[in-house]
Amino acid sequence: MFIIISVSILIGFIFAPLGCLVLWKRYVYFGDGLAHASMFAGILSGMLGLPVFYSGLLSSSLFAFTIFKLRNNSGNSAAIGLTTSIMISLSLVLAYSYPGQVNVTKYLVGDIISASMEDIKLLFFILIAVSIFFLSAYKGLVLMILSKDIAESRGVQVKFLELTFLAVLTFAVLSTIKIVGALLVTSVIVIPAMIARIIAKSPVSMIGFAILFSLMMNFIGAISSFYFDLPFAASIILSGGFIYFLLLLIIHFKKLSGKTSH
Amino acid sequence: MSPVVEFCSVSKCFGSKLLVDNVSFKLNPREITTLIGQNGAGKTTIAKMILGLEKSTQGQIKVKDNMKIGYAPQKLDFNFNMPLNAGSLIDILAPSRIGKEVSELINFADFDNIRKVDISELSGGQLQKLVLAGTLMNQPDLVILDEPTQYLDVTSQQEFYRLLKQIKETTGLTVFLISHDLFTVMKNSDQVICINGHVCCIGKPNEASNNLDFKNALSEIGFYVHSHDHVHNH
Repeated sequence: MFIIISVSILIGFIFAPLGCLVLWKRYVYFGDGLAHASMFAGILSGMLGLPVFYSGLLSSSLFAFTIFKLRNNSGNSAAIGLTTSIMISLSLVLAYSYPGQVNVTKYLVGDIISASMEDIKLLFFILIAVSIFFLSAYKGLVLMILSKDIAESRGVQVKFLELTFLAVLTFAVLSTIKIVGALLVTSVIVIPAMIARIIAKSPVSMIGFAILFSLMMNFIGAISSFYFDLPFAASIILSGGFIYFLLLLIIHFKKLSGKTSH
Repeated sequence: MSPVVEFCSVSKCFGSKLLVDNVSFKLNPREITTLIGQNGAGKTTIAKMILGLEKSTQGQIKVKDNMKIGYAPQKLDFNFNMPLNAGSLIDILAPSRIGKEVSELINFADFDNIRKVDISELSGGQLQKLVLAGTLMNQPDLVILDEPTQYLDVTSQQEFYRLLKQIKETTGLTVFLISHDLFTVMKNSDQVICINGHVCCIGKPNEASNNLDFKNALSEIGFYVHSHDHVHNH
């Protein structure tokens, strides 16, 4: 239980700020592509006997390189869509060809029970990296999101920041893929930020609220996964979805009561 | 006084396309220089070369050392999903609000009334005023303004140029403007550069009504002059 709770808390702290940035930069599609491409990492890991982290580095490099090469011809979204589909298809074909060695479902839906002390150490390391990244680059990041040109004219290393962000996001996704699963990892990243966006008035408060909601969702997900044997990521997302719609309802009724009182 | 920026036979190619062709000019301190030209004439590329965001393919660009350069871009495509109110935007654009003109700039941007409004709810004009005010409040030595008044109404445009001139006089600010609004350019600039890939003409704005070269240059970039300072788009 200690491992499950620790992993849930660490994932909450790591993914909430990253999710805010994904939402601000409208990188949801990229995150989704990356997550699905990382299924290929799981398949490679099973086939070659590599740790999933290293096969993940290989698959994400292949993913980034293909998009980089394709995007000039077909645009970013189409390049991401095509690369994602090819990597998923490749994963399925390999899984079908080597049925004894590869379990696709394991990488699609993940399993919190598979988390170990090693995962906690790795997640702790990523949390430190995420914290350093946000604390040192916060002003540059906000300026970059406002306008790349203004940011660059004030000396912000926009390309370096973007690359660092994508690298941190990639490591975070790869490190949690066996726990959360490729299918739902983007939602686990983005939903807390989406909930926070409803009530936050500033970037900092949005990150704060996102961490709070992420911890709530992950805690509920971990408990229900442990006691009722439910899939971890699915439980997180259902609890997140519940909080999201509840908040929207509360705001709606607040507005209604405000109108009627006038 | 030595120029703040000097372009010496600068060219810039994008792939095989020559966008800026052998351009030379100087930006003198405490002057408002305006670059005019058709769409795609290379105006924004020149601004970005001054900022160091684009490198020249040929020629030399000399920018005075240790200068604080402010930049308000043409496209305010704030296409993001971040909660940010006007107050926070100004905090980011001008972290240390200094100078005597801050209160006037705050009035110009109507800051007190919109301070807590999320910038996604502001109109294009309100947002442009905020960005201009924030850029100027940061007290740059040189400010590059790309189409600064395109979303502003006539009164706001006049107010903006009045403030810009006032700041220039009191702080020694050098201004590099890119504009399509020729009437305002003629009225407010110390130097005008007509560009169409290459430099068509450089001169004082009042030369427009007398100088045939200047008229031809304006005509080349899509404008014509038919009396004193009356310039029209084709």
